[in-house]
Amino acid sequence: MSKETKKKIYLIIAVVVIISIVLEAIFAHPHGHEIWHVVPGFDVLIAFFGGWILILFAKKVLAPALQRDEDYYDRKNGGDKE
Amino acid sequence: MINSIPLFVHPGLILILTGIISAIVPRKIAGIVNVIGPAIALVFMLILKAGDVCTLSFINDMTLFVIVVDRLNYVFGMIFSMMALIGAIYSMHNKSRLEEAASMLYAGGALGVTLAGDWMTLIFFWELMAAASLFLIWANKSEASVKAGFRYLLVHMLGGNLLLLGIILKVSAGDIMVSNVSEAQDAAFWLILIGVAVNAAIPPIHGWLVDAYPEGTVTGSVFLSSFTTKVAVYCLIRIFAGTEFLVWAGVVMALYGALFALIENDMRRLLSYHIVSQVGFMVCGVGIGTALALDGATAHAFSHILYKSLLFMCAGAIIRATGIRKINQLGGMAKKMPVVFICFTVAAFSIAGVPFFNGFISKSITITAACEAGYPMAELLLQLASVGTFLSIVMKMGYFIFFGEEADVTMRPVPKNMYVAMIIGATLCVIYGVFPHALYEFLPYEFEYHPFTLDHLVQYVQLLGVSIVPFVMYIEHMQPHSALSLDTDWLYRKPFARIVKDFSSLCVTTQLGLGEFFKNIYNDTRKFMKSPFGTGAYNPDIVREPAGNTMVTILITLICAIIFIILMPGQIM
Repeated sequence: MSKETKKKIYLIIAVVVIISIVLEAIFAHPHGHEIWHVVPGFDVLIAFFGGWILILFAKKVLAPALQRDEDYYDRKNGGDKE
Repeated sequence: MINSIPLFVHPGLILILTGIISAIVPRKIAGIVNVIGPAIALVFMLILKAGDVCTLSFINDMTLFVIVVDRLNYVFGMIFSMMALIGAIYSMHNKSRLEEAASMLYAGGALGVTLAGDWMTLIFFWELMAAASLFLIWANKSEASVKAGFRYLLVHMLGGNLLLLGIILKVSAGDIMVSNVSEAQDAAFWLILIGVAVNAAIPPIHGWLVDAYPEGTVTGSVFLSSFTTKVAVYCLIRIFAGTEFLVWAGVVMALYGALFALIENDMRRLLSYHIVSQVGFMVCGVGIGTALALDGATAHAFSHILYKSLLFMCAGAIIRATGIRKINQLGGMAKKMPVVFICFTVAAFSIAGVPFFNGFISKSITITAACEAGYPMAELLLQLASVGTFLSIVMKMGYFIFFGEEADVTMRPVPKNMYVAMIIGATLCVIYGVFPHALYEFLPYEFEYHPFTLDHLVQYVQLLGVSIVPFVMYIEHMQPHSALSLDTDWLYRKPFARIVKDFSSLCVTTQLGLGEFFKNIYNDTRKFMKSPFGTGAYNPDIVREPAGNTMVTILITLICAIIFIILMPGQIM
């Protein structure tokens, strides 16, 4: 994916998010008590940081710890490469 | 109001009968029989109404409640029979009689469990499902599928037997009807819970699902993804509603599946992880136990069957056309298979919960229910799981399969009936997404919920829109690569298999050793008896006893016996 495409995607999302936050701040009636119900646009933070946490946890913790070669279970001796 | 109905209207039995007939009739007709059967079953299911009961006398003066319809199992029966029809259309081209018959028996078993009123009927159909589904895996006929099938069988035998044990405890205590057991946390509670949890794939006993489902046939996986786990969700709602720790089990499932899906490369294995994740939402709803949460779980099971089977159908069509199941070997498929691309987009938007697709109208109920019932943390974590779903299905699968670098693959034509089934599935996903009340009016409990408030819409636009950003920023590292992720099935595929192997080789060694030991004693004794004095050659005069000795022994024994009988008559008589 080229840098221009990436920039376009960020721009579109930024516009959509700004519109949605404005709409939320003016019209929406939150029915909850926690901070993520009350503050307009809090879902942006959940999605952004949550997304990063999930991706990094999966790629940096789970993958190195749990991924093996595809023939792992077919090998006769114990599993790991000699 | 109880309304007695005859047995032959049982939609599950109609499907079972269809399976048997399609196994016997000529192959050309079998495909058509397999579509007509589920269509009749669907009509009969829709005709049933709450309050319908069908009983059957059984051995030991027992009465089986084969059909007991209420609002809860009506909606599950409806989606199961719909799915049986869609799945049958998808697999119409299939040449394997075994698979056709197995898929109908399997769907029939699912409907049987759903409509069952008493424990005995439930366990009967439960085991039928386990047995029939096994053949959908074996029908793939690869070495991997045969092995995965055996592991599937062992896990489900364990689960089924625990459930049976729990049911025996229940029935022998006099509770014959299926009912909520969550009040007393006794042995029956735990046994039934573990039995059902095996089928619901609640970690750590979910390894069988991600192990076996990707190994099934293209058409078999569509059936597999629809029934076992959702039947278990139905049983959880019926039997364990309000069991609080299930809230957290569900949250763990939702995140677990989403995380593992992010590093998975096999298409159907990735989708299997998302079964775990989505069933997590339902299990969480069961744990919360309020009317809104149970309705949310029911609605989500309904939606889930539609979009998940559609995802499996899309993956199946790609596998059928290219012979490839790994994401990293695919790319640029949007141009080559535009219909599959559109159907996949609908299904992916549905599972991610994009507004106006059917996942949104059901997933958001559970999340709202978590908030209203006082589990704000669960609500937050389920939202995080939604972000993960969006990342791994819409972004990862969507981008790397349908866009990305174009892969050089030869395409085979895909049967038309597969497209028909996929278009039906996609249409239903959109219809229910735009007109949620078509589903809401069938939900079992009284509830008040409006999915399309500005609040909800804005929330999901932000949640899903912004989660694109981390993916795009990290896209160079998101490309999956050939690897196998270890999961809990590792425990019985490696250490447990090792223990069994070592133990059996110990047994064999002991057996051989003992055999050798006693054989030596025997041989030595024989040799000694043949020639006690080591003279070597066989000499009958030395080895054989004189005939008189034998006579004396017999006589003494006889006399002893006579004396014994005469002296102690009381002992004998």
